[in-house]
Amino acid sequence: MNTAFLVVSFMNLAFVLGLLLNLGGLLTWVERKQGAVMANRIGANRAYIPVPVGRDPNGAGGFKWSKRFTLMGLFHAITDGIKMLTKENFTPPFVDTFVYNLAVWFSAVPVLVTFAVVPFGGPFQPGVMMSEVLTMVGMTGAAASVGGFFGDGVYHMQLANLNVGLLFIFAIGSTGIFSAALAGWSSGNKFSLLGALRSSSQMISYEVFMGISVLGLLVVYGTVDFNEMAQLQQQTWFGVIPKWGVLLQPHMFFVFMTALMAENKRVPFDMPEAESELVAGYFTEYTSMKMGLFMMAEFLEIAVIAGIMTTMFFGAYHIPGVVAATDAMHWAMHPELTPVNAIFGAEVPHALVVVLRVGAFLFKLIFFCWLQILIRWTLPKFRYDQVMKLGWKYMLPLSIVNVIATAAFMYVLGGM
Amino acid sequence: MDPSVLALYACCLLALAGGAGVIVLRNPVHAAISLLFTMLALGGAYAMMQAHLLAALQVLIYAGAIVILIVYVIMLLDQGREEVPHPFYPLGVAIGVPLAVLLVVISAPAFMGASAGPEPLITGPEDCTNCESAAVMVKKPDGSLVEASGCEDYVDTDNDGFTDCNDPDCHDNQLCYGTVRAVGGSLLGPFVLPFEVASVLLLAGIAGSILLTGRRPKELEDVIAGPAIAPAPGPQVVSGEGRGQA
Repeated sequence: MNTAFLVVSFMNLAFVLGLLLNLGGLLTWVERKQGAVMANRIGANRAYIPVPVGRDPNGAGGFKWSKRFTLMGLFHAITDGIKMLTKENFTPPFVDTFVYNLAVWFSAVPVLVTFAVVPFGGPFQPGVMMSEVLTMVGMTGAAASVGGFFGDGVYHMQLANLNVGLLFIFAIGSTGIFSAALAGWSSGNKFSLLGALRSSSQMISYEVFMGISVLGLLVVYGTVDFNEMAQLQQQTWFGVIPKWGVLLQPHMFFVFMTALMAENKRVPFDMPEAESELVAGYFTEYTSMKMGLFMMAEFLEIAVIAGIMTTMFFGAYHIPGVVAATDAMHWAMHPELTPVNAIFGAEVPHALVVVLRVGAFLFKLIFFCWLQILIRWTLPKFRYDQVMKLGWKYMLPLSIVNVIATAAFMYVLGGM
Repeated sequence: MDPSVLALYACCLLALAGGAGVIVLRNPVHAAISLLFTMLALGGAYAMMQAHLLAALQVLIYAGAIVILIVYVIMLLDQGREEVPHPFYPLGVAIGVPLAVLLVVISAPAFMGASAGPEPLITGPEDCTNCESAAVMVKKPDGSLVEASGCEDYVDTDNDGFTDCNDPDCHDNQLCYGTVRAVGGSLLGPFVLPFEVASVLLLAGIAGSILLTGRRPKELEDVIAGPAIAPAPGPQVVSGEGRGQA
């Protein structure tokens, strides 16, 4: 393990943590603003910071302050954070303290950890990329030394290049159930306990077919490794239509997305919280930033779900029709996967490739965040029995039929 | 010492501590959480021994499914608020301690003879002929050049974006220890019969649980429960029509 590898790992870590934690805050604003726009309200526009706009005509030497610098309500995310951090951190006397505090950890940690296997930009060569950029701005000396430090090693823009990819997400995601279950049990509150029971049964039910629904796609891809899924989705039909997961298994796209959204416990699947019935469900007894972490975990999960959907169904970091010249080696090994490089010629600067890929991934990620919040503000809350019926009586049989049908189809076809 | 070996030992210690906690802790939920940490630590230990698939399945099935069901049942029965009494069983100690000693005596030679140290964590093959010529210089993720001495998880010998163990070019490579392809290949290859027998056993278990807990047919219910008891007179329900008239 050399220094360059460590440096690249920390760069990846900084990118992913920065992306997720900022999105977690930003999405609270998106939730408010998008909900307001959809409900024909003005929305988040109260929080502001005063900005000096000139001299005060009345006072000596004072400033004249602008009334409202609201920045479309973006400051609400900051005020939320300040509010959560400064409120009283009250632990009710009747709770089981150890379990009560442990449950908070189980809410946010699994969500953050699952993103470790999501590739956000494919393979890249930091030495080549940085020396290109530095040469462009005229710092040839620095370019040479940076290029020498990194060499021409190929790294993945991904925190953990795990062979088990998707299974890792299922495994870590399944421990997230403990947050609701333990929080509800330890609170010593009937509403909390009811919320915990509901959330456990809902999440266990939806986990069953969440795995089965993507089995068909795994049969087609022949791998559970996210990097390889991303590589495979570069292929095309007739050289034009990308072989994205959503085109291979469109019906399972909806089933999988439904399952993931039910795992997130937001409207229309907010049985565990059910504000009108259970106060706040399993986190009724939590205050200040502990409660804030439960809320934050839900918003982080929106971003993580978006990342998983992008990688599995929407071509990961690829832009259809644009194939990076850096993959020339890949194409040489697999002549059957003809690349379509419509916009750029054979030689594209590596830095541009990296920027395009990360940009494409972020664009799709934000699209799926938007879509989830759109669904949240469109659909009314289900009844509890409707949630269970949807899962067990419709989604599960559909997923099982899909697995059998896909396997039979692939057997007859003998490959992709 | 290699950090991964240190992590392995840390996981083993955590697993043992969790196991002790299950026995010692008197509160059912605390004991369940202790069991959860044992399961997670075992998953970590498998991962440190390069059995990534086994690690994922360990966490997925044991931590994610079995322990959560235990917690769920405790919640459903509303147990766990009070501590379970802690009696001392001399007979239990008299049986348990000799058995524990026996276990150590039987299993110690196996551990002693296993290896001189924690070196063979990666039991890879000696060559990777299916991918490329046997001795090629490959680039590891950290940029260093090494001779391809095994189909390790993170090595992409032919540089096509697929790590060797998942490379479609390496179909008959059964040597990639602990990967999805290797474990799947063994389960559906040499061990297909035990695998299918286990699935039949599980099916029998599911059918049995449905039979034991599910609703019985009406005629069977009468036979089992004896003569039906008339329901106790409950509060008078006022029909919709009656309310309207009032």
